[in-house]
Amino acid sequence: MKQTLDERFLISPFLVFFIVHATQVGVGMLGFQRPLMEDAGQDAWMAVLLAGLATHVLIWLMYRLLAYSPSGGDIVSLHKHYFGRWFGGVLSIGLLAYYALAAFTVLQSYIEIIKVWMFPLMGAWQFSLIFLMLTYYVISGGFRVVAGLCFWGVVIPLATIFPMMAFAFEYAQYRNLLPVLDHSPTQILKAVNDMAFQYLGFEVLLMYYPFLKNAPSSQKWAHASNVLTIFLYLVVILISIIFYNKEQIAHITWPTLTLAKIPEVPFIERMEYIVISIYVLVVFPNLVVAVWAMARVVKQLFSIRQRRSLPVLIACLFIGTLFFEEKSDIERFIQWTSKSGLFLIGVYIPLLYVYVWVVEKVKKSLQQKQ
Amino acid sequence: MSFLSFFKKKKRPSQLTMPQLWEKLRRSSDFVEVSFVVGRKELSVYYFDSLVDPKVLQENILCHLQNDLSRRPDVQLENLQQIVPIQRIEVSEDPAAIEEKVLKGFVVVSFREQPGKAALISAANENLGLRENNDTENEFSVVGPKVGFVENIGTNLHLLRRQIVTPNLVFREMMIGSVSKTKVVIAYIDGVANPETIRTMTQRIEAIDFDVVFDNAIIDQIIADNSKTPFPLFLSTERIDRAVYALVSGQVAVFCDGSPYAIIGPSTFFDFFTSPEDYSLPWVLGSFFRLIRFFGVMFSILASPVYIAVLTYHYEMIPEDLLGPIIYSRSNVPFPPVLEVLFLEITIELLREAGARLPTKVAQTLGIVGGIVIGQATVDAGLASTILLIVVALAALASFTTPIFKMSNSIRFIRFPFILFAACWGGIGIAFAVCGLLIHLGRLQSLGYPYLVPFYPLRVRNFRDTFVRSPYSMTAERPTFFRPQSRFRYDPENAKQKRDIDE
Amino acid sequence: MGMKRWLACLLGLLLLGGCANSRPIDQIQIIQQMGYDFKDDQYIGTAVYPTFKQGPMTKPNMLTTSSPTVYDLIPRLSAKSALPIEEGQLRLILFGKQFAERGIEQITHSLARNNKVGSHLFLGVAEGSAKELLDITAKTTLSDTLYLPNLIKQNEQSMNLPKTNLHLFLYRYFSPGSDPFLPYFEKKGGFVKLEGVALFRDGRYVGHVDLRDSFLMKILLGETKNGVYQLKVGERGKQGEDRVMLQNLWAKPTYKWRRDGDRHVLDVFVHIHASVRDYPSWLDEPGANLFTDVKKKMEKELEQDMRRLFHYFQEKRIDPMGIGDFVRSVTRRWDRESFYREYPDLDIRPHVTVDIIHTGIGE
Repeated sequence: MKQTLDERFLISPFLVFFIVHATQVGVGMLGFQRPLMEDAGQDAWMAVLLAGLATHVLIWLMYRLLAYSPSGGDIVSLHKHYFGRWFGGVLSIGLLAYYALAAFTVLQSYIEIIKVWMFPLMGAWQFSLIFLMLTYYVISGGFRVVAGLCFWGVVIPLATIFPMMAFAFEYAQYRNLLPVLDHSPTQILKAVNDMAFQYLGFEVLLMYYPFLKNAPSSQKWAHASNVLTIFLYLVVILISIIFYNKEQIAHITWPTLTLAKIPEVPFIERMEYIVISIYVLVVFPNLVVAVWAMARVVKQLFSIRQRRSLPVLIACLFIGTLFFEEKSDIERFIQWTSKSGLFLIGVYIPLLYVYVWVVEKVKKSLQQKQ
Repeated sequence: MSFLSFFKKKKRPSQLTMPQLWEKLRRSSDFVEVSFVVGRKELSVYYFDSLVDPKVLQENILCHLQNDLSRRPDVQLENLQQIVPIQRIEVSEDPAAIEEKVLKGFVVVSFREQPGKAALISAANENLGLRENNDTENEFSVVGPKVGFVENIGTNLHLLRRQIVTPNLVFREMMIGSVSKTKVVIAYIDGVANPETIRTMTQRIEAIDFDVVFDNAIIDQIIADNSKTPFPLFLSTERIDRAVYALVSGQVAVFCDGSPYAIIGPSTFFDFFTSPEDYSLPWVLGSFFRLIRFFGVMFSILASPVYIAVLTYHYEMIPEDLLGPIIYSRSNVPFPPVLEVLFLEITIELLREAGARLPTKVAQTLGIVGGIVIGQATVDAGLASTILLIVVALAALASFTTPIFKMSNSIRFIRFPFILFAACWGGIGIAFAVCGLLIHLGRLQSLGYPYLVPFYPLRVRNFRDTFVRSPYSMTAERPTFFRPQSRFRYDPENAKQKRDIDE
Repeated sequence: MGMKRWLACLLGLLLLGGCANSRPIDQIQIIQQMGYDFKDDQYIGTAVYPTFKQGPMTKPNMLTTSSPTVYDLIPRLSAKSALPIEEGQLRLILFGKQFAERGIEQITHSLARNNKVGSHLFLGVAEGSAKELLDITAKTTLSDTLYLPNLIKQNEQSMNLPKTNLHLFLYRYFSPGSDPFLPYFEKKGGFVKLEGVALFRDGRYVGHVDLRDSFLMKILLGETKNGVYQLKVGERGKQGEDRVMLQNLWAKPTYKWRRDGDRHVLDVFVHIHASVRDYPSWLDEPGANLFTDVKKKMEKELEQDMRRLFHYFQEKRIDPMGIGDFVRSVTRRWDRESFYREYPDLDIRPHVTVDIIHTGIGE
């Protein structure tokens, strides 16, 4: 199995900007304000900022970790190198399960939104089938096409959905932001904990690292991308704070979408339908990259060709969506994904990095002794 | 045995001798053999009457052969060049080569005393049967040259060389097609076009195994990277200035004898939206019209699907003032919006197809009948609503704004999957269809280069010539996505010189 | 093979796919206004829907139904309609006075959870029964189902009505430092008239103020650019010749919260840029002092009226101005209970400045 890939399949490091942002922003943007404002009220924007800054540190850590992986490979090869084939395999399978969980959660939560807002009577299986079929189409084009989808998933929503936020200023009550810092650090930290889940998504970098031309140079783009994500979340939370008040938002499940009810243009009225439709482009990269990562882990571990494993993985996801349709199930999945994601990024990666660093140090000192 | 030979692929022709060759060719009544004695030389002249220009044959070949051979009896076939005033006389012993050349309108002269050898003199009548004017009808521009390529490759190459006056313009000739033996020429500017591109193009054309190459379009489809896509992967143009611009940017042009279109590759999606007229107008106007074209195409694809989606699933989106007219115009129609739209769209497609094949005299009348009468009658009969008629008609018009005809065909086609998706899933369906389209375009490659450049992979510097047409002071750099060998077209510094006020 | 599989899947999907949820616009009955009443232990719902018979003009029609619960009203309308009832285009919801007095909590929560209605939905309170008022509007306007919503919109934009729609109503309803209010309609002769603003406390209707006071409410709520107000400026002349008409060009309130001894004081500074076009002729007499005199009188009159209005609110223990919300923004650890205990005794001092920008083109 080739470790270094043919140059034709690599993408320019600048595109990491789009991939990281596209995988971070997902369904969460539509409803993340609620738990934040419940905990931190008008200081919720601080939680957004703090969580974003923490993410910068984690991205930096991730790049340092990947620098140790043999021949610029991904995390599976790193596991293999440092933990041997079997234990490393077990760790990679854990990663596979995480990606599967993430893909499933993304799919189900977005389909829930479609069902609640637009088509309550339609069977959810139709949407998941179309999504998964399109996923196959994208992934079978190679990672380049996946990155292309991420590009569109950033550019088009930014150009179309984002300007709609401007209409909210008509109803802005700026004094909702005051008094500043009226909450205890515990409350703000709790909000940070709720928020951190929204920044997850960049950990897929662990798998597509070998697909970048001159991979270490992409680090600055990953950081720039995170800045864009922070900016977007910040704008949304600020607008939400001045638009809603704390108690009102406790009654609204998806504040961003309800915000989209406000814009009124002479020829179109209820923009939230447009927002939900364009949101397909925001959600889709999350799904596609996660499924791609799954197929890639399978390929690296078991040497099964992606063309074979992909239909099987997609079929599993589809069957899963048929069974878990209720709102309580979806909530549970979101909790699991959030917890395991935070564990992966906040605990596992730093520990792994420390371990790898120690091992390398020991190896080097042993070599020097010789 | 003859039954089985029907299924066998054509074998290569076996080697013939000269007399066998003449025997074979004699089967056709336009093959002429003239034998006569001049001086003390006995010579035979063979040619195809239908291919040879009688004037050239009589005045330049026969005349000189008859006069000079008597005065110089010891001239050999190899020295025929001294007598006959036609360039590039070849002497050949290979019957296969002779056969090829005689079929191209060459006159074969052989001396009795030099059997097995023949001199081939070019006397082809190149311009017989071609059209007189070479106006570009399909790529018309109001301000700009109207002269375009014709069906004769010699003329085309001539027109090209007149515009690009540099020894770096290289033509590479090859013969494609086992039966048609069409002359195909690859043109590129050495030092600008990427050698990789040239190599790919040459390889692909040489690998063509086809019998009759009717037209450049066949070459286009055979060498295309992906034959399953409705989108054209090579630019085809009739205009000389467009071909010249392409060559100067580092693209490669392919000419085919018998086709007035040159195909240009590699091309990007946005090449199909640029019109040479943009360059004749001031850059502000050029950019404005280009943006109108993009908007027109997007409108054309999305208008009918959005109508279906809003009216079938998202009635809440209609503003209160429009509610009345829409409901009123829909109230008489018995079909759901999908069927209404499909009905009208198919009517328009039928009109278009019929209009392309009608004799010119009838076309005008039918156009008026089709457009006005059928449309009005449909609304009055209650088969479609007025608002929809306007939407569909505008969408149809807008799809023709692309300067290259091939692309407008693709857009016509693409609209139908969008309509189906919108009918099934409303707004989400349209989003899915847009996703699918973007992915499909992202996967396409033209000669190995990504189709959606400069959008994806993102090359911000090359935006200068896609959406907007920048002023000439800013287009000094060639577009980098074709990886040309030479970066600058002209000196950017001189183009940008600014003078102070009152200086 | 891959291609064929794709197409088969897609075709199967399209054929089986959901037209289950299609609501083509000419096969549904959209209702544009809804009225809620309470009478004899039953809730009565009235729906106004348009029919498009003579071209794009709409003719309003009415449907009534009754039910023991509020939620059931719209579904019950289907029993009287040939086409499915769709509420996505609802523009106005009118509450009858009895219904509003019982409490609109249920319907408010229902609206907050309803994804089909837009946030620009207007709400209002009718004196008497909503059914009656809607009936009148349906009869008097032969071709406009949106008479009342347009009336509200027009008055909000250029006259004295403060801005209200579903979003703002929910905002004020849920906010701990604010109480909601809605436009108030009355039947006058054979017409429906906008009488003023209906006030709520804990989701119950408690009273209304007239249009003149609603101008003050509008100014005190936030920056506004329109509205008219009549002020008394003198004793001279006959009855009716002692008032000037103030047209607001731009008004901005500023609130300040401070302690004065052991009490809290709320200072309200209002700056009005006004145009005074209509005034009695005796003001035209030469002498600039008259001008400043009039200005001072106007300011004093405005302050008096505002004080009266605030007093009225304090008495009724309601806070439609959102004073609680303002105090929350300038206090750390604001406590709702203690503030509202203090509220009726709060010292609210308005200070008004009027700038007369112009007085018309004549002299």
